[in-house]
Amino acid sequence: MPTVVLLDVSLSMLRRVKTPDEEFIERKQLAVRGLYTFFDFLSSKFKLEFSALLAFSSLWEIVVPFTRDYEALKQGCITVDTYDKTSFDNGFSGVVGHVIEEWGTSVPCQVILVTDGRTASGQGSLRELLDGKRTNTLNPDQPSPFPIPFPCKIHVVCIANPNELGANLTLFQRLCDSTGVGGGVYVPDAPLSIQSVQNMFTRLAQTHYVSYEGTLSCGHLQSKITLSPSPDFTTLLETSKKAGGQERIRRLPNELSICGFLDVADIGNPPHLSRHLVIPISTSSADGKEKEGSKDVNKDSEEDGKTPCFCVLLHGSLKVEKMVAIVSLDLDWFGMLYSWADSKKKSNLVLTTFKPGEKITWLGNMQKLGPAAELETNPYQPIDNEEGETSPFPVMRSQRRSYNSQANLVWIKPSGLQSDVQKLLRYAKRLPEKQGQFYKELNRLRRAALCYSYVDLLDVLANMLDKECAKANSKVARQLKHAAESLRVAPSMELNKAITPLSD
Amino acid sequence: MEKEKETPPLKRTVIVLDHSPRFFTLSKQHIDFDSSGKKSKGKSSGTTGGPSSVFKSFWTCNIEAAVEYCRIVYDIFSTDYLIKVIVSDNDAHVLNSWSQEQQCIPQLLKAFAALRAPMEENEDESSIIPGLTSAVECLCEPQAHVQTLVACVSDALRQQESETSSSKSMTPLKFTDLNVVHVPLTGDTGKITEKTIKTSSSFSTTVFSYKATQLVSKLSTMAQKHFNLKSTTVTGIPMKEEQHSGSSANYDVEILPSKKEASATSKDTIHLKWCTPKTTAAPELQACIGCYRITPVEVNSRPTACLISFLLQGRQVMLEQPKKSGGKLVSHILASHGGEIFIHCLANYRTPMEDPPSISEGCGGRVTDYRINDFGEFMKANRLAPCSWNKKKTKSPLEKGLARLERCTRYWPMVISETVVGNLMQVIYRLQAMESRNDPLPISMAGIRGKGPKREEQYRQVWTELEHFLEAASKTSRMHEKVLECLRGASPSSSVTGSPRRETPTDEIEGVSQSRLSEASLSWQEIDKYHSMTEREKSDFNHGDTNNEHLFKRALSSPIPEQAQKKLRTDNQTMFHKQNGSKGENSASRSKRKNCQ
Repeated sequence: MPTVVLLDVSLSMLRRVKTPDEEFIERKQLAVRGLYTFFDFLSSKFKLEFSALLAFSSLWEIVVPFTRDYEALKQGCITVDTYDKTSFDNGFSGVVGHVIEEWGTSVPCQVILVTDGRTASGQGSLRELLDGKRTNTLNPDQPSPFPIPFPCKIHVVCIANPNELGANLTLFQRLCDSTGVGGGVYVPDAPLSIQSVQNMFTRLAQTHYVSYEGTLSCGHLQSKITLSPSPDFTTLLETSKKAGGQERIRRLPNELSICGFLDVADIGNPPHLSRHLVIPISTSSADGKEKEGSKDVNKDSEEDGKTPCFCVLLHGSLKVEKMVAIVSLDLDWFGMLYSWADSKKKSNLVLTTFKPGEKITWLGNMQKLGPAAELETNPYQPIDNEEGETSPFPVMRSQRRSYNSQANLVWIKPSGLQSDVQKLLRYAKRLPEKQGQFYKELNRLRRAALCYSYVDLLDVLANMLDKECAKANSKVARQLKHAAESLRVAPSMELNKAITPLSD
Repeated sequence: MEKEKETPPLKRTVIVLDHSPRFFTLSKQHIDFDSSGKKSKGKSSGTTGGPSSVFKSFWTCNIEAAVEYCRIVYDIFSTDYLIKVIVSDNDAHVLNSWSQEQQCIPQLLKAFAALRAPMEENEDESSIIPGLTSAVECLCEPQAHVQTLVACVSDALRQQESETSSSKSMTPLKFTDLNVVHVPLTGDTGKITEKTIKTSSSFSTTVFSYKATQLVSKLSTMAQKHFNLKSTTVTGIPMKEEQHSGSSANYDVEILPSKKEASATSKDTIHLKWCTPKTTAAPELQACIGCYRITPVEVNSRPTACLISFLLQGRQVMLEQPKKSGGKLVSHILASHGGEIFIHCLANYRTPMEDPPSISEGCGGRVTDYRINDFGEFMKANRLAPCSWNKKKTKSPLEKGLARLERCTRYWPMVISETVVGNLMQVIYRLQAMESRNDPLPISMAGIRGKGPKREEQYRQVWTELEHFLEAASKTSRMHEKVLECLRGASPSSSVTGSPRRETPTDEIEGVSQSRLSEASLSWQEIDKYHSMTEREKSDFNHGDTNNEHLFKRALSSPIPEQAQKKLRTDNQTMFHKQNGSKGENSASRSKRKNCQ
């Protein structure tokens, strides 16, 4: 997931510390050296992850917007200037603004606050931010960045000796805990030095940046894969946990097993929880089994490129056939694999995970999806004389939604009733040929009037029909008279007893 | 009252309506018709209607409001939220149960119709109290967690009583929200002030006062508030005009989706613009971050009906949102799935997946002869469908799917160059072509003294043998039957669907053999290679010690456990058989020929 480094560039970051080598070094310098290590770690292991560098003091600025160019990020660390005092409120407002502008509110991010261990006081202080008591007189219109509106893990990196922190440590921990996902406060081992700060950043990176390595399988066809961005469902599911209900910890299984396939037309844009690129990795470099016969395997990537890979085959076929593969992730948790096009030229295999337990109503209960070919009759059958075939989807739900039926009349707006009455009179004028429709309309109105106890309407309708009698020939007039009479007595009759035409 | 066995849903609502005779007086709400049934010009409200004005009684207004409230909730939340309606006069009349069959509008309307008009003389006995008591009983029935109790009551004087009577038996309820709606009747003078009374942490009462004319819209708003819905308007829907054919005008339709859909905007309604759908749009997967059931606000209006029927036909509608930077962005899709209408919210932002590495640079990216089409066939043969599942007796359908894929992939080469077993029909066509060109058959001449049989005879023998083999194989495999029909000159495609289903083991793996059939069109490369061979190579090939042998070794040395091979008998082995068999038969025929000589 994308990372935002929020670097404190207040004056206090210029305070010098004495390193064990008897040298004096600014805290900001230490922070920059640490960040170098951090960015180097990411660039070696997470080439596809995006990171951004934001600097804040009493104001904030985007130093380097989200990028995969780690050199640019490192450069940004050096070029950023130092300003006045720390305002956490503004700093986090900057983070929230930038993340939402780029990724919206559904992409989980990690925020790494790099500061000198001071929490500031008064306006814009960390305490004020956490307590929600804002006295932000500078930008009264600016909404509070808390609670963070996107799934987020916050880490705090203090460029300070552990003994300097005191009570601030608890405050920083509160900040990390505020998103409920378990970021951590990182303090370098004493004494402060370039080495100890770098070690601390490495510790953070190794703990919170873990790549997924697993197997994608379809029966015996398999491929070692990694996912990008790395799946982190604790961060993602935190939001749904807040919404209610206990959510157990979800982790992607090591083997992503395809249990069958569906047509894109049938899957119907189900909502997703997360999306990941599925990238095949070399079997030879992957640890573990399958060592037999691999002695001679040339670890050259050239060789990997020439070895057939199931991922590539699957992607090609999914793309050509416009299909998706359904992957079972847990008993009640599913995902799908499909070909996703970033641009017109390029497409990739992508894994989309659904929310655990989510019901995609038109697919029915996903736990009950089984091989169509093993059913009594295969629901996929070619349609005669046409291209295409039948499909068991969508699974029909109840047809009792109010919009499914024309029978439910609602006369909340006068125009609704007026047009219904007009329709009846139109048919009345075109009797006898519209007799069927006339009686159908008549009964709809009668039924609705009785249901809503709108009895007076029946009389008015009867009167209108009486008036029509005058203009009609005797045969039609007989029908109309009969209809009018039937309406008048309707309140004392059974609801289900429809008015039927008078037989000749 | 029947008890529910299902787990109680999150929210239950009981609507209690006062059915005392006083409600049968006419309200000011009326609809005008002039004699011809056309709309009268004057605004209906406020004016005393003409001769064709039909006034609604207070009771009618109450029913309309209650039904509209229920309609919204039933449409959007099928099973999560339940509503019961109770009518109270001198007794409580419960109009529907908690069961799914009765949680619908037709049930309510039927029950409303069945109510008799209250007796004037019962006026004194008639009260909201029995209804409220009954409501509380209903809510407590299956230890439900009730959050809302909506009551439309008429008279504020009764409010105090009702509160006490309800709160006494309220204990098992987690939280109760009593909404008292006062509808001032004609001639009512007493002023009721709207207020919220918080009695305890688990019980709160809010008093509203709505005129009969406002009741429906107010209750609709109340439903939006109670169930967290956000009004959204689809704007600019082009519709053909009935009167002026050929012309079209733009309409707006207001819908109600769950509020979760809407981004944090404070506006009353969100406007989304209709994008006329492309006619040729192939289904494409959109990145959807949320999907919510909707219901139209005016379900009977013509524009609504138009939009709804468009959607129910299976068309999708893209909706645009104006962007801050100007320009527009498709942000939502309206679509129906199985008779229900949903709004899908699309992810409109950058994705961390952008600019992905090219497949050709990754693992397996340099391989160019993947059996893409064959795997496509494989996928089609392994599509999923809803199944029944007896949890005690059988494997879950998903396990069946996994097992099936395991069976079907025991031997499945991923690239064309690794497979020859394949398109038998193509082989037949090529043989025909060779015969018509009078090419010699690539049969080994070793061991045959003299000239051997004539070409014609060779071909005859090949065809006879092929037919015999296929006839035997077609008894157990549909795809072999197809090939046989091809051999005999019938159109192979016509027979696929027509052939009766056989209960043979191959049915399960038919899909594989099907893909096999089409897969080796490129195994013809093999034959082409043969044609380009020198005589020496040809004879080597025919002796079966180069390419052929190599292919066999490849196939057999693939890591299939013995057991698997056994199970695959009807599929792979028939294939192997074919090759082995034809070899064997070749030698057999050779010896026959020897005998002839």
